[in-house]
Amino acid sequence: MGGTGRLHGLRLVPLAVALCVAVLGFVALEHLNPHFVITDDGIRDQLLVRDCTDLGRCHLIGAQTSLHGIHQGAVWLDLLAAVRLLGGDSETQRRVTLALMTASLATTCIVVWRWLAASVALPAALLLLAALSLDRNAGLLINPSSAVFFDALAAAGLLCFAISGRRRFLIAASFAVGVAINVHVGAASLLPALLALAALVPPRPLLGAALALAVVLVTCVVTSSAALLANLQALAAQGRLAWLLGGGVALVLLAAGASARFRRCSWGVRAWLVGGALVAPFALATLWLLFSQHHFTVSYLHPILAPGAVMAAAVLCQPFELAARRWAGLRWLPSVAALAGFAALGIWRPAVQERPAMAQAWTLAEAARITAVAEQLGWTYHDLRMRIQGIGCDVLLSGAAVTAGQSRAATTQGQKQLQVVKVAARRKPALAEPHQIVPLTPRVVAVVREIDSWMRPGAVQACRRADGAPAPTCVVVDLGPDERDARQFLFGDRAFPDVHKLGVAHPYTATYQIPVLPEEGGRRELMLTADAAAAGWRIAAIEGVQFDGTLPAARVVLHSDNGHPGMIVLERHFAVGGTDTRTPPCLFEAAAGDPLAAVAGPR
Amino acid sequence: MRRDSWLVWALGAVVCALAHSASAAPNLTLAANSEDGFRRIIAMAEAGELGEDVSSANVRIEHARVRIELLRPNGRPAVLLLTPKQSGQSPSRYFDVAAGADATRDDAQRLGRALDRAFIEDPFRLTGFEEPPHGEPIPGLGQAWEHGGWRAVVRALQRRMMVLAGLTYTGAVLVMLAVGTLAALLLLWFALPPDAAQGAQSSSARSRI
Repeated sequence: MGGTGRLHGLRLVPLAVALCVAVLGFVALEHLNPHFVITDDGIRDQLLVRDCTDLGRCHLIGAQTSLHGIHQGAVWLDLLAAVRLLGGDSETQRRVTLALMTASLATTCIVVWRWLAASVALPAALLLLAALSLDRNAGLLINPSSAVFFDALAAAGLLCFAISGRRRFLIAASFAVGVAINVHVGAASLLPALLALAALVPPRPLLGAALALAVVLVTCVVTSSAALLANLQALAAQGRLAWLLGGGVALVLLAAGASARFRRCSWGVRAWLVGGALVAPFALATLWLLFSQHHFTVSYLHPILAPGAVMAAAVLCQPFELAARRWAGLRWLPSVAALAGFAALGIWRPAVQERPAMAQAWTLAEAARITAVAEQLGWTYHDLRMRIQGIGCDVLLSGAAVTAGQSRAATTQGQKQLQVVKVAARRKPALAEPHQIVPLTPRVVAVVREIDSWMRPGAVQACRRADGAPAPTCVVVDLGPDERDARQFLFGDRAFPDVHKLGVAHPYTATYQIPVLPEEGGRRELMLTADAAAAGWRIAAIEGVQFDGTLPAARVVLHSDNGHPGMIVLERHFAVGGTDTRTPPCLFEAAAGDPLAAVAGPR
Repeated sequence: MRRDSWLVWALGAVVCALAHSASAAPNLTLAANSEDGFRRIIAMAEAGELGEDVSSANVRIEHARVRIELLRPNGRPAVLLLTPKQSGQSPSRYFDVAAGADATRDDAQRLGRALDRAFIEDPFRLTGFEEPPHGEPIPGLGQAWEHGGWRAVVRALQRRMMVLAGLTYTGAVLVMLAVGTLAALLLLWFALPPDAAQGAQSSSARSRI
């Protein structure tokens, strides 16, 4: 009885530690990722999910990746759809993602504690938390964030399988790999490790490999059949499918040949071999991407985060293990330090929310609120494409796409434009009329107001001229009705599609020519918003309209004696490596003395 | 290994079927926005960029095949046929250009270069993904077998893999994912290594690595 009680105690200690790690880890991740940052990828995923939840058209394939012909699976969309179907919003989706990341911490902690060394568990979990916190995908609510959880499940399952040889762990790991690949295709680097270990560990190697492959295939077919087929077709078209199949068979046969030797290895050697098997394919794939595909932004590290953290922790703890031969307590020193680290990260609240840049960024919840107010004023999403003014107008427009209705038709707003400026709540009485104030948070409000604009965005011309080229290439904005598939929610940003065809080699100068129709005898201050001016945009030329000041400038005062139409030209030079979003910079119009101009305009 | 050979053969057959299905030539069609590119080709022809004797061009598009007639005021039009690129020798990035009636190799070369200027991105897209082409229903497997044997069965399966799913299917997938993930999580959280399971774990702090 005493032995059983002690055994139960031993079972509960790692569980309790893992739960502590989960709670502190969640709080730390929540602190480090305070908002859902709006990105085009995130918006696209939300719209695909609305196709499923609102229209009943669920995709079995995700977005195309940056590798030609390769697509993401649909499981990430399924996860987002599940939250929406259960009544959650984007904030809930973000918390679910953080919870999945937290679960990967706890699982890593508990498995390392029980299967490798208790003294390595907490340092490994802390290193994994650090890796997750440094991962810039975490706050973006995109698929690599939650793929970490399934990657960690797969890695833990493979470790347990390699040590115990129990088939149930192989099935669990295969299922996790199948899901992980369809959350983010980068997890495909786990497949070679799965196949190799499935053939290495059991006494019947071919049965193990066949079982693993069958579970992965069934998971892929059930969750993302279209993605599986599209990717196989792409690999076949590129002539890589036969090589991959041949390589897989060779790997299994080699592993089967080494199976008996592997089973004779010690526990520790097996654990290190598992770690190596998980990391090596990723390293090889990275080298292939770098040198063969010239893909220099390898940012999806999620498949190796968990095994990497465990191996790094094992190495860091090794001196303490050696020292523990003389003083046993020293073994626990890294764990104590890790626990203190968890507590510090859980309690410490970094000041990211207070940064000025964050104060002017838009969250999805804020965008939803502004969209609702704009709809009350009669503005559809498609109206807003080129008729929204204010800092981060393109980000706000992207966020608005997520909650926008399905209507493609722009209503007739004439020469009106919508100005949206986020300000501190304490400044609102001085800035706007009460009905123009939209509360966003207890400390932040948005001023939303319509103005009669002097700009005529229906005929904007975008040009790109390479340095040294005799003439630019240009396109004219098309704000006509969106003729894409009307049965889907679509994302139409300010980069009217043809701008993407202006392929010009860096360095080059980008210009947008915006027609203006001034009011006879009127004066109007026109400025680039603070973010656009800071990015290097300038008002380079003004034709047909009088103005005060010298050019180039970030702010000018237009005036007109006769009300004749004119043109303003916005310009920015893009050096080699400069990132061009291909959207016109945000502008702001104001009457003389308008206090909002001081908030929205250049500093 | 011998006693597992049937399983390996069975799985190998599934993988080969998938690979075969994948390697079948994809159904391509010209994207709607490719019209802009062909308008540019017509403008080039009118500007004399497709030959000094060429005054204009007629373009006829049928799914993934394009027939271009280069019109000459003093002679018969040169006919060129464009199809999705399959060969490495084509003068164009995205098209195979075949010289038809009254067209010369030079005409094909000039048109290939002009196509590269007119199309800065691939004008073809896959048909059949997520939507049955032309809205027709996907036949059942038996029906497909009767119609065209095993090739038709593979094609029907392929199309079933491509279609959009409904909410019911997605709900069932979500339940499967939830159950599978929870089972894997519970297994990993509560399983003990072989020696600990036998009650022989002498020290929780013992290092194995």
